Amino acid sequence: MEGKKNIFRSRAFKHGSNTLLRTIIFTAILVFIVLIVQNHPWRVDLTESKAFTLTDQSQKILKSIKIPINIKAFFQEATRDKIKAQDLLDTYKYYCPNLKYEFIDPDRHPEVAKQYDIKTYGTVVVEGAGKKQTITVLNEENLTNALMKLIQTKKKTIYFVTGHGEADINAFDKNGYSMVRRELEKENYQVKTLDLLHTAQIPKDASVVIINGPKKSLMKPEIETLRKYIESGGKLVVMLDPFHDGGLKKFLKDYGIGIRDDIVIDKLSRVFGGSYLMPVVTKYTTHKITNNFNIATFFPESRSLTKVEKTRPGINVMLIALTSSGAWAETDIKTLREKNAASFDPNQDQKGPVCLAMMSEITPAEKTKEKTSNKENGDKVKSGKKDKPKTRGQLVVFGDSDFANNAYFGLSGNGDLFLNVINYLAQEENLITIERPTKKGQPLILTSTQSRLVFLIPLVFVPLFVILCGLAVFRVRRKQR
Amino acid sequence: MTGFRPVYRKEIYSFFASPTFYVVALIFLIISGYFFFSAVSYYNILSFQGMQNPMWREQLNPTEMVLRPFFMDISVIMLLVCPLLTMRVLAEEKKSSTSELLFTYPLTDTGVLLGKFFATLSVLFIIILGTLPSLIYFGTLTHLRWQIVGAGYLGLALLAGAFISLGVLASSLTENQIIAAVLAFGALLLFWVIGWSRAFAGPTLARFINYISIINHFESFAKGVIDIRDVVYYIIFSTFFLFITLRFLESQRWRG
Repeated sequence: MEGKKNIFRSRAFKHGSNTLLRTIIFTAILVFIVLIVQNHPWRVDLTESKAFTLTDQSQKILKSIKIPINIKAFFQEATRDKIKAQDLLDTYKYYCPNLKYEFIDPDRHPEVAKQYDIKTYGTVVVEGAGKKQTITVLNEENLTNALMKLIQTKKKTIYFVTGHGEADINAFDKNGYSMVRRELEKENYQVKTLDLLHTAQIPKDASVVIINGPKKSLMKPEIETLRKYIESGGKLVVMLDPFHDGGLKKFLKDYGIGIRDDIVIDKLSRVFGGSYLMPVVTKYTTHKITNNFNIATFFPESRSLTKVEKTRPGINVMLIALTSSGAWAETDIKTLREKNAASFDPNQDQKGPVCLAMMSEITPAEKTKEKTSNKENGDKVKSGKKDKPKTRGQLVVFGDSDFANNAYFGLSGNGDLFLNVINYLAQEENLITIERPTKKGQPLILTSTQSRLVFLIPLVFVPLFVILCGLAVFRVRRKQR
Repeated sequence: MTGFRPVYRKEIYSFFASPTFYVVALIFLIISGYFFFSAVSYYNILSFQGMQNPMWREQLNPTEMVLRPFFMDISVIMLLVCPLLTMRVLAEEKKSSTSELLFTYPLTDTGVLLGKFFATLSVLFIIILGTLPSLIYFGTLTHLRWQIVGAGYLGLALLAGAFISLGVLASSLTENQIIAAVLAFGALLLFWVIGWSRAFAGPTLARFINYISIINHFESFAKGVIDIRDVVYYIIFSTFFLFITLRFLESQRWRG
């Protein structure tokens, strides 16, 4: 009995363990093959428009990405847009295994959508290297550009011009700008000072140059340096307090922004508990800077800005912040200073709403000419590829520099407005342009015969053929029996 | 691998002689035909709307809007009919006690199994090819990219192989054909829907689930991309389950 059991056991054990071992080894080999193939993907795109292949530019950039990239795509479930987005992200993942993506339905996960400040369906957030880029329209050009911006390691630099009594970025007193400096550094900017007299040109790494409230006039060569900078696509912020124009009157006028010797008086501000001389802004124009921004900002002792109508072509001026219509720009300073009284004089003073912040976009002069001549030739596309697309210079002017100093930076929306402006200016435009051949639609309108055939072939003819085959086989078999 | 050819021929012959094949083919083709008809009709309506809207017009693409959903639909019907074809493959032999006879012939197990596997695959593929006349007619109506059609059929063949390998395993486990069919259907459905649960899983598990999910790998074929990873997935899937079946058949011998 015991021997019998032993034989039985040993036989089953022998075969069983043998089978198990072979299964394990075989499975291991299969897993090994899978891992190799997963790490060395290869695919053929059979579509005509190469819809699932990226351009060489994108491929090159994706190959250089070594850091993990996380993409969160906020799409509604089961929409055509989502399928398209999935196809695109899948294609990216094929070229860059470090890239991971996930889809989030903003309706089902409002908390995540809120965390990333998602406002529209189809927004895509790309994260990597501790940075974040948001795309609202998902396509190859935008996604590749977002990835490029992520892998750029250099910090953006903000320069503050010094030497004319501007507020010091290191001073902690109430007129200092140390708060601005701290907040900018928090936003991952590098903050430096710049002495225009010692440099022939603005440093190449400058993302934004700021002139905050000069008390003395800038010298001619300094202004020339600034002019060169802005004409070649630089970003400049000028903050001028009343009665100190820093010698920039002509410079600003050339770019469509006019300044006068006046001071803005706002009766409404009194209601808020401030002085007449601290106009409050509660209305912003619809501009990218002030998009969704609706917090009041205060400008202690501010001057008015006006739009200069006659400028050279290629200059586009936009208003950003306006006072209420109850405010005006007072020119009678004497009365104001001596009697501490002011009244609106329709002949002299500018009626509200008074503009306190303005932006001007400057298309480089030579380029405008070229563009128009090209338009005449009807040959726009070629020139775009030949010379590097120059970025537009941007100039933001505030009629006040105190609103962002240590005393007022934290007041209401002042700091936010300032940082919004800097973030907007420092943001890079798309670094590369990718043009995909546009797909031609192939509409299909069926005639009644055609639509009948579309019905008949799959639903009548083919099944009938199957039935006939079946009947034929059975007749043959019956005969054989 | 002696035994592949005779078994393959015998299986093909018995498929075509059995009424099951014709019923399955008929049902498969009628359902897929209906899907084709509705896909084309819908495309027709969209084209009509596109006449008024040039933005819409650019989106109209027959490969994207007819072929892709059509191939996805076929894969669903295949999920339903595959167990019906595979259920008898080994269970019938067991029931009629011909399996002992079959496996004592001077034929290798591998040969026998592969013969049965490829015979079932061929039969299913012939059924799938029944959808081709409609596509050929559609190709005369509009510009169709035949390479994509080819990729779709390749994908279907690979998917069919994966389905059948699992069905054959189910059929080897029991002598009752109904049980074999239910087992196969349940297992296939599980491999199909497992991908849906990736949303709740952690990142590593989600990646694994994503890989295991049987239909995730079919998408690329349907849109006209042949990806080596997906091809390998289906081949590995089939190989694995055929290997397990083989070990199971072998174990029956020494288990007595």
